[in-house]
Amino acid sequence: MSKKVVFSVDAFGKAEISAEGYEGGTCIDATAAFEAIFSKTDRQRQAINEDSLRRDDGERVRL
Amino acid sequence: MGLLEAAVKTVSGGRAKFVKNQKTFRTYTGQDTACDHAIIIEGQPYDIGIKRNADGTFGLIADFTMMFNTSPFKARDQQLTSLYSLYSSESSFNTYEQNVSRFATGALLQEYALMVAEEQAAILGRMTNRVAGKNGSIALEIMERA
Repeated sequence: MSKKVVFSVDAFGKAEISAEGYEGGTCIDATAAFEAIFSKTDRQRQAINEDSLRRDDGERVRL
Repeated sequence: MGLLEAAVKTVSGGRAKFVKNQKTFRTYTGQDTACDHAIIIEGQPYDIGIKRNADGTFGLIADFTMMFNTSPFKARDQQLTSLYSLYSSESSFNTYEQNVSRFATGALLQEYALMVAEEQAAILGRMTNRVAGKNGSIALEIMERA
């Protein structure tokens, strides 16, 4: 079954990501977010979630 | 070309450029202010600094009031006045000019985030589609190839 992901960025640059079966939330690192969503195991997904995704003020950018 | 460099070029219409390892940027006082990288606004007296945060991420810093008059990141400023009326009560800035400048740099952060997402989606073999949302937001739909 294909998975659709929506990555939404507001006018301030604050990003949110959502996908079926994924908790979602504000993120500052799209690469990590996608790895989390498309990773093959729940353990991988959880590890990446805890490390890379968190609430943020939207003013940050990862180079 | 890096993604941030590309985002700066896109949002500014080519009027600004990202300079890696530029350690100072120009502000209102006329004094150089320390940063780790800079976005140079050619032909204008003020720039944007990029400074490393304690957690390893980077933030944009600038004299936002003066940037209102000089920023090239106003390519989307037809949206700014209406956005200001929607968001001003939530903003920590005090003046219209500061709010508008914040929206302008927000456009840069928005474009950069979308470019990062599109690149990563391509690496993962996914298709993407940008969809305009409410209040200036942009949604990137990411799907598996048919």
